[in-house]
Amino acid sequence: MDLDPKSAEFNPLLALYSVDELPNVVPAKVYDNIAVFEANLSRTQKNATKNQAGLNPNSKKASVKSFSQRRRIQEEVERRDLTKLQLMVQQKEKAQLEDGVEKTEPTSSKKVQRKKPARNLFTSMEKLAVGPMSLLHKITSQRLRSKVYTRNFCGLRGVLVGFIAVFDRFMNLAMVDVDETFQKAPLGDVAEHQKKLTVAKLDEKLKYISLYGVEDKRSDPKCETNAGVQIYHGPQTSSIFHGGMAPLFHRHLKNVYVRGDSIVLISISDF
Amino acid sequence: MAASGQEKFYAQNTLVVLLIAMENERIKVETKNESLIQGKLMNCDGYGNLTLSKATVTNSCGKTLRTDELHVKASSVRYVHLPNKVNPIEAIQQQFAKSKRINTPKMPPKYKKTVQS
Repeated sequence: MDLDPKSAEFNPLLALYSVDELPNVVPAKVYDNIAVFEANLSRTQKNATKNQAGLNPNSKKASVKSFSQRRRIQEEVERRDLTKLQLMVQQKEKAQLEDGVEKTEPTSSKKVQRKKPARNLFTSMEKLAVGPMSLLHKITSQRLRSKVYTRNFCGLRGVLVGFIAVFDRFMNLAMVDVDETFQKAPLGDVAEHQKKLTVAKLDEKLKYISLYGVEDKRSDPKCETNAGVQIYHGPQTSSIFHGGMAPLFHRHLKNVYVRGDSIVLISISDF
Repeated sequence: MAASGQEKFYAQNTLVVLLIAMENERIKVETKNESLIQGKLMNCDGYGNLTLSKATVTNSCGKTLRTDELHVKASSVRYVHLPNKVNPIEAIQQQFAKSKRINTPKMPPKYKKTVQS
Protein backbone atom coordinates (compact mmCIF):
# COMPACT_ATOMS: atom_id res chain seq x y z
CA MET A 1 0.00 0.00 0.00
CA ASP A 2 1.23 3.44 -0.85
CA LEU A 3 0.38 4.77 2.55
CA ASP A 4 1.83 1.94 4.61
CA PRO A 5 5.21 3.10 5.96
CA LYS A 6 6.41 -0.48 6.33
CA SER A 7 5.88 -1.35 2.68
CA ALA A 8 8.38 -0.93 -0.13
CA GLU A 9 5.92 1.18 -2.17
CA PHE A 10 5.54 3.79 0.57
CA ASN A 11 5.10 7.29 -0.88
CA PRO A 12 5.97 9.82 1.85
CA LEU A 13 4.65 12.83 -0.10
CA LEU A 14 1.28 11.17 -0.55
CA ALA A 15 1.18 10.27 3.14
CA LEU A 16 1.91 13.83 4.16
CA TYR A 17 -0.88 15.30 2.02
CA SER A 18 -3.54 12.65 2.76
CA VAL A 19 -5.06 13.72 6.07
CA ASP A 20 -7.72 11.03 6.00
CA GLU A 21 -7.16 7.28 5.67
CA LEU A 22 -4.00 6.95 7.66
CA PRO A 23 -3.12 3.31 8.34
CA ASN A 24 -2.58 2.02 11.81
CA VAL A 25 0.94 2.65 12.69
CA VAL A 26 2.53 0.38 15.20
CA PRO A 27 4.09 2.55 17.91
CA ALA A 28 7.76 2.57 17.04
CA LYS A 29 10.40 1.80 19.61
CA VAL A 30 12.70 4.66 20.52
CA TYR A 31 16.40 3.84 20.28
CA ASP A 32 19.40 5.78 21.59
CA ASN A 33 21.36 5.69 18.36
CA ILE A 34 21.62 4.10 14.95
CA ALA A 35 23.83 1.27 16.20
CA VAL A 36 21.19 -0.01 18.59
CA PHE A 37 18.56 0.37 15.87
CA GLU A 38 20.66 -1.72 13.51
CA ALA A 39 21.06 -4.43 16.12
CA ASN A 40 17.35 -4.62 16.70
CA LEU A 41 16.68 -4.49 12.97
CA SER A 42 18.77 -7.59 12.41
CA ARG A 43 16.91 -9.36 15.18
CA THR A 44 13.50 -8.48 13.72
CA GLN A 45 14.65 -9.54 10.27
CA LYS A 46 15.79 -12.84 11.71
CA ASN A 47 12.39 -13.37 13.33
CA ALA A 48 10.65 -12.43 10.07
CA THR A 49 12.64 -14.96 8.07
CA LYS A 50 12.00 -17.62 10.70
CA ASN A 51 8.24 -17.15 10.41
CA GLN A 52 8.29 -17.25 6.63
CA ALA A 53 7.59 -20.67 5.18
CA GLY A 54 10.13 -22.19 2.85
CA LEU A 55 12.99 -19.94 3.90
CA ASN A 56 15.88 -21.41 5.80
CA PRO A 57 16.48 -19.24 8.90
CA ASN A 58 20.09 -20.35 8.94
CA SER A 59 20.72 -19.39 5.33
CA LYS A 60 24.13 -17.93 4.70
CA LYS A 61 22.84 -14.70 3.27
CA ALA A 62 20.86 -13.83 6.40
CA SER A 63 23.70 -14.75 8.78
CA VAL A 64 26.31 -12.84 6.79
CA LYS A 65 24.21 -9.72 6.87
CA SER A 66 23.74 -9.87 10.61
CA PHE A 67 27.40 -10.69 11.22
CA SER A 68 28.62 -7.70 9.24
CA GLN A 69 26.10 -5.49 10.99
CA ARG A 70 27.24 -6.87 14.33
CA ARG A 71 30.83 -6.16 13.34
CA ARG A 72 29.99 -2.63 12.41
CA ILE A 73 28.24 -2.11 15.72
CA GLN A 74 31.21 -3.58 17.53
CA GLU A 75 33.61 -1.28 15.75
CA GLU A 76 31.48 1.73 16.57
CA VAL A 77 31.34 0.73 20.21
CA GLU A 78 35.10 0.35 20.24
CA ARG A 79 35.62 3.66 18.58
CA ARG A 80 33.43 5.43 21.07
CA ASP A 81 34.98 3.72 24.03
CA LEU A 82 37.49 6.26 25.27
CA THR A 83 39.25 4.05 27.75
CA LYS A 84 40.02 1.49 25.11
CA LEU A 85 41.45 4.21 22.90
CA GLN A 86 43.72 5.34 25.70
CA LEU A 87 44.91 1.77 26.18
CA MET A 88 45.68 1.45 22.47
CA VAL A 89 47.73 4.66 22.58
CA GLN A 90 49.68 3.36 25.57
CA GLN A 91 50.36 0.07 23.81
CA LYS A 92 51.60 1.91 20.73
CA GLU A 93 53.98 3.96 22.86
CA LYS A 94 55.24 0.82 24.57
CA ALA A 95 55.88 -0.87 21.22
CA GLN A 96 57.90 2.11 20.02
CA LEU A 97 60.15 1.94 23.06
CA GLU A 98 60.87 -1.78 22.70
CA ASP A 99 64.32 -2.98 21.63
CA GLY A 100 63.54 -5.65 19.08
CA VAL A 101 60.89 -4.29 16.73
CA GLU A 102 61.95 -1.01 15.10
CA LYS A 103 59.01 0.73 13.48
CA THR A 104 59.17 3.47 10.87
CA GLU A 105 58.79 7.16 11.78
CA PRO A 106 55.86 7.63 14.16
CA THR A 107 54.30 10.45 12.12
CA SER A 108 50.73 9.16 11.86
CA SER A 109 49.66 12.02 9.61
CA LYS A 110 50.43 9.83 6.56
CA LYS A 111 48.11 7.06 5.48
CA VAL A 112 48.19 3.97 7.70
CA GLN A 113 50.47 1.38 6.08
CA ARG A 114 51.15 -2.11 7.32
CA LYS A 115 54.54 -1.68 8.97
CA LYS A 116 56.87 -4.63 8.59
CA PRO A 117 58.76 -5.22 11.85
CA ALA A 118 62.49 -4.89 11.22
CA ARG A 119 64.33 -8.21 11.33
CA ASN A 120 67.48 -8.08 13.41
CA LEU A 121 69.43 -10.22 15.82
CA PHE A 122 67.00 -9.76 18.71
CA THR A 123 63.94 -10.71 16.65
CA SER A 124 65.73 -13.82 15.40
CA MET A 125 66.52 -14.66 19.03
CA GLU A 126 62.79 -14.52 19.79
CA LYS A 127 62.03 -16.73 16.80
CA LEU A 128 64.42 -19.36 18.14
CA ALA A 129 62.60 -19.42 21.49
CA VAL A 130 60.53 -22.40 20.32
CA GLY A 131 62.42 -25.42 19.18
CA PRO A 132 65.85 -26.86 19.95
CA MET A 133 67.37 -23.46 20.81
CA SER A 134 64.72 -22.80 23.44
CA LEU A 135 67.22 -23.65 26.19
CA LEU A 136 69.54 -20.92 24.95
CA HIS A 137 66.65 -18.49 24.93
CA LYS A 138 65.80 -19.50 28.49
CA ILE A 139 69.40 -19.00 29.59
CA THR A 140 69.66 -15.54 28.06
CA SER A 141 66.26 -14.29 29.18
CA GLN A 142 66.60 -15.60 32.76
CA ARG A 143 70.31 -14.75 33.03
CA LEU A 144 71.25 -18.25 34.16
CA ARG A 145 74.82 -19.35 34.63
CA SER A 146 75.60 -21.95 31.98
CA LYS A 147 78.34 -24.38 31.06
CA VAL A 148 79.48 -24.35 27.45
CA TYR A 149 81.67 -27.30 26.46
CA THR A 150 84.05 -26.67 23.59
CA ARG A 151 86.05 -28.89 21.30
CA ASN A 152 89.40 -28.92 19.56
CA PHE A 153 90.31 -31.09 16.60
CA CYS A 154 90.41 -34.25 18.72
CA GLY A 155 87.90 -34.52 21.51
CA LEU A 156 86.84 -32.14 24.23
CA ARG A 157 88.82 -28.95 24.84
CA GLY A 158 87.19 -27.56 27.92
CA VAL A 159 84.27 -25.74 29.46
CA LEU A 160 83.27 -22.09 29.71
CA VAL A 161 81.20 -21.35 32.80
CA GLY A 162 79.50 -17.99 32.57
CA PHE A 163 76.54 -15.91 31.49
CA ILE A 164 75.37 -15.88 27.90
CA ALA A 165 74.29 -12.38 26.85
CA VAL A 166 73.35 -12.98 23.23
CA PHE A 167 73.16 -16.01 20.97
CA ASP A 168 72.29 -16.60 17.34
CA ARG A 169 71.18 -19.33 14.96
CA PHE A 170 74.70 -20.71 14.53
CA MET A 171 75.12 -20.95 18.30
CA ASN A 172 77.68 -18.12 18.27
CA LEU A 173 77.60 -16.74 21.80
CA ALA A 174 78.52 -13.49 23.48
CA MET A 175 79.44 -14.50 27.01
CA VAL A 176 80.14 -12.34 30.03
CA ASP A 177 82.01 -13.14 33.26
CA VAL A 178 83.43 -16.46 32.10
CA ASP A 179 85.63 -18.99 33.85
CA GLU A 180 87.29 -21.22 31.31
CA THR A 181 88.76 -24.60 32.23
CA PHE A 182 90.55 -26.21 29.32
CA GLN A 183 93.37 -28.43 28.22
CA LYS A 184 96.00 -27.54 25.67
CA ALA A 185 95.64 -29.23 22.32
CA PRO A 186 97.88 -32.28 22.03
CA LEU A 187 100.66 -32.18 19.47
CA GLY A 188 101.35 -35.14 17.25
CA ASP A 189 101.28 -38.72 18.58
CA VAL A 190 100.43 -37.67 22.11
CA ALA A 191 96.80 -37.53 21.12
CA GLU A 192 96.65 -41.29 20.72
CA HIS A 193 98.37 -42.08 24.02
CA GLN A 194 96.94 -39.62 26.52
CA LYS A 195 93.74 -40.24 28.44
CA LYS A 196 90.81 -38.49 26.81
CA LEU A 197 89.00 -35.74 28.63
CA THR A 198 85.27 -36.35 29.09
CA VAL A 199 82.36 -34.28 30.30
CA ALA A 200 82.17 -36.28 33.52
CA LYS A 201 85.85 -35.73 34.33
CA LEU A 202 85.49 -32.04 33.55
CA ASP A 203 82.51 -31.73 35.87
CA GLU A 204 84.51 -33.34 38.64
CA LYS A 205 87.31 -30.80 38.13
CA LEU A 206 84.77 -27.98 38.15
CA LYS A 207 83.44 -29.16 41.49
CA TYR A 208 87.02 -29.21 42.81
CA ILE A 209 87.56 -25.66 41.58
CA SER A 210 84.32 -24.42 43.11
CA LEU A 211 85.34 -25.91 46.46
CA TYR A 212 89.04 -25.07 46.57
CA GLY A 213 89.50 -22.29 44.04
CA VAL A 214 92.49 -21.90 41.78
CA GLU A 215 95.92 -20.84 43.01
CA ASP A 216 97.21 -17.90 41.05
CA LYS A 217 100.89 -18.82 40.68
CA ARG A 218 101.64 -16.19 38.07
CA SER A 219 103.75 -13.29 39.33
CA ASP A 220 102.09 -10.73 37.09
CA PRO A 221 98.28 -10.84 37.54
CA LYS A 222 97.65 -8.57 34.54
CA CYS A 223 99.04 -11.04 32.04
CA GLU A 224 98.51 -9.85 28.48
CA THR A 225 98.15 -13.19 26.83
CA ASN A 226 96.13 -14.80 29.66
CA ALA A 227 97.43 -18.29 29.02
CA GLY A 228 95.76 -19.74 32.07
CA VAL A 229 96.69 -21.14 35.45
CA GLN A 230 97.36 -24.81 35.75
CA ILE A 231 95.12 -26.75 38.11
CA TYR A 232 96.64 -29.31 40.42
CA HIS A 233 94.16 -31.95 41.43
CA GLY A 234 95.54 -35.21 42.73
CA PRO A 235 98.87 -36.76 41.86
CA GLN A 236 99.86 -37.17 38.26
CA THR A 237 99.84 -40.95 37.95
CA SER A 238 101.75 -41.11 34.71
CA SER A 239 102.96 -38.82 32.01
CA ILE A 240 100.61 -38.09 29.20
CA PHE A 241 102.66 -40.11 26.81
CA HIS A 242 102.08 -43.23 28.87
CA GLY A 243 98.33 -42.98 29.31
CA GLY A 244 97.95 -40.14 31.77
CA MET A 245 95.65 -37.18 31.46
CA ALA A 246 96.71 -33.80 30.09
CA PRO A 247 96.93 -30.98 32.64
CA LEU A 248 94.00 -28.57 32.84
CA PHE A 249 94.28 -24.80 32.80
CA HIS A 250 91.93 -22.22 34.20
CA ARG A 251 91.39 -18.55 33.44
CA HIS A 252 88.82 -15.80 33.82
CA LEU A 253 87.49 -13.85 30.84
CA LYS A 254 85.29 -10.77 31.12
CA ASN A 255 83.86 -10.57 27.58
CA VAL A 256 84.09 -13.29 24.94
CA TYR A 257 82.57 -13.94 21.58
CA VAL A 258 82.49 -17.72 21.09
CA ARG A 259 82.07 -19.07 17.59
CA GLY A 260 79.35 -21.69 17.30
CA ASP A 261 81.30 -24.37 15.53
CA SER A 262 83.57 -24.92 18.56
CA ILE A 263 80.64 -25.64 20.84
CA VAL A 264 79.68 -29.21 21.67
CA LEU A 265 77.23 -28.93 24.53
CA ILE A 266 75.44 -26.26 26.56
CA SER A 267 73.95 -26.94 29.96
CA ILE A 268 72.72 -24.90 32.89
CA SER A 269 75.17 -24.65 35.77
CA ASP A 270 74.24 -25.77 39.28
CA PHE A 271 76.45 -23.25 41.11
CA MET B 1 79.74 -2.61 1.53
CA ALA B 2 78.28 -6.14 1.64
CA ALA B 3 78.57 -7.90 -1.68
CA SER B 4 75.57 -10.23 -1.54
CA GLY B 5 72.13 -10.25 -0.01
CA GLN B 6 73.11 -13.15 2.18
CA GLU B 7 76.02 -11.18 3.60
CA LYS B 8 73.75 -8.23 4.36
CA PHE B 9 71.34 -10.60 6.09
CA TYR B 10 74.11 -12.11 8.19
CA ALA B 11 75.38 -8.64 9.09
CA GLN B 12 72.00 -7.86 10.69
CA ASN B 13 70.77 -11.20 12.01
CA THR B 14 73.79 -13.02 13.44
CA LEU B 15 76.30 -12.23 16.16
CA VAL B 16 78.61 -10.81 13.51
CA VAL B 17 76.91 -7.52 14.43
CA LEU B 18 78.89 -7.59 17.65
CA LEU B 19 82.15 -7.91 15.73
CA ILE B 20 81.16 -5.11 13.37
CA ALA B 21 80.41 -2.99 16.42
CA MET B 22 83.96 -3.66 17.59
CA GLU B 23 85.56 -1.86 14.67
CA ASN B 24 88.53 0.31 15.66
CA GLU B 25 88.87 -1.46 19.00
CA ARG B 26 91.80 -3.51 20.22
CA ILE B 27 90.79 -7.16 20.37
CA LYS B 28 92.40 -10.54 20.91
CA VAL B 29 91.46 -13.38 18.59
CA GLU B 30 92.09 -16.96 19.62
CA THR B 31 92.17 -19.22 16.61
CA LYS B 32 91.36 -22.87 16.22
CA ASN B 33 95.02 -23.67 15.67
CA GLU B 34 95.92 -22.43 19.16
CA SER B 35 97.44 -19.12 18.15
CA LEU B 36 96.60 -15.77 19.68
CA ILE B 37 96.33 -12.62 17.57
CA GLN B 38 96.26 -9.19 19.19
CA GLY B 39 95.45 -6.18 17.08
CA LYS B 40 93.13 -3.34 16.17
CA LEU B 41 90.05 -4.49 14.26
CA MET B 42 90.04 -2.59 10.98
CA ASN B 43 87.07 -4.22 9.38
CA CYS B 44 84.65 -7.10 9.78
CA ASP B 45 82.46 -8.40 6.99
CA GLY B 46 79.08 -10.09 7.07
CA TYR B 47 80.58 -13.57 7.41
CA GLY B 48 82.86 -12.70 10.34
CA ASN B 49 86.14 -12.48 8.43
CA LEU B 50 88.36 -10.02 10.28
CA THR B 51 90.98 -7.56 9.10
CA LEU B 52 93.34 -6.39 11.82
CA SER B 53 95.95 -3.65 11.72
CA LYS B 54 99.23 -3.64 13.69
CA ALA B 55 98.74 -7.27 14.64
CA THR B 56 100.90 -9.59 16.74
CA VAL B 57 100.44 -13.30 16.16
CA THR B 58 101.66 -15.64 18.91
CA ASN B 59 101.54 -19.28 17.87
CA SER B 60 101.34 -22.32 20.14
CA CYS B 61 105.13 -22.65 20.20
CA GLY B 62 105.45 -19.11 21.55
CA LYS B 63 106.83 -17.54 18.39
CA THR B 64 105.56 -14.06 17.59
CA LEU B 65 105.01 -12.37 14.26
CA ARG B 66 104.21 -8.67 13.80
CA THR B 67 102.44 -7.34 10.72
CA ASP B 68 100.82 -4.09 9.67
CA GLU B 69 97.77 -5.76 8.23
CA LEU B 70 96.36 -9.20 8.86
CA HIS B 71 93.32 -10.98 7.55
CA VAL B 72 91.73 -13.72 9.64
CA LYS B 73 89.26 -16.11 8.12
CA ALA B 74 86.00 -16.40 10.05
CA SER B 75 86.09 -20.21 10.20
CA SER B 76 89.49 -20.22 11.93
CA VAL B 77 88.28 -18.07 14.84
CA ARG B 78 87.55 -19.80 18.13
CA TYR B 79 87.18 -16.89 20.55
CA VAL B 80 87.26 -13.14 20.20
CA HIS B 81 88.15 -11.38 23.44
CA LEU B 82 86.31 -8.09 23.46
CA PRO B 83 87.51 -5.06 25.41
CA ASN B 84 86.46 -5.15 29.07
CA LYS B 85 84.40 -1.96 29.01
CA VAL B 86 82.07 -3.23 26.26
CA ASN B 87 78.52 -4.34 27.07
CA PRO B 88 77.48 -6.74 24.28
CA ILE B 89 73.78 -5.87 24.17
CA GLU B 90 74.35 -2.11 24.23
CA ALA B 91 77.04 -2.38 21.58
CA ILE B 92 74.68 -4.32 19.29
CA GLN B 93 71.88 -1.78 19.75
CA GLN B 94 74.24 1.08 18.96
CA GLN B 95 75.36 -0.75 15.85
CA PHE B 96 71.75 -1.19 14.67
CA ALA B 97 71.09 2.52 15.15
CA LYS B 98 74.24 3.36 13.20
CA SER B 99 73.47 1.02 10.32
CA LYS B 100 69.88 2.28 10.10
CA ARG B 101 71.20 5.81 9.62
CA ILE B 102 73.61 4.64 6.95
CA ASN B 103 71.29 2.28 5.09
CA THR B 104 68.16 4.42 4.69
CA PRO B 105 68.23 5.26 0.96
CA LYS B 106 68.21 8.89 -0.09
CA MET B 107 66.09 9.52 -3.16
CA PRO B 108 67.92 11.77 -5.63
CA PRO B 109 65.92 15.02 -6.26
CA LYS B 110 65.40 14.19 -9.95
CA TYR B 111 63.39 11.05 -9.17
CA LYS B 112 61.60 12.59 -6.21
CA LYS B 113 59.61 14.85 -8.54
CA THR B 114 58.28 12.01 -10.72
CA VAL B 115 57.21 10.00 -7.66
CA GLN B 116 55.16 12.90 -6.31
CA SER B 117 53.45 13.61 -9.65
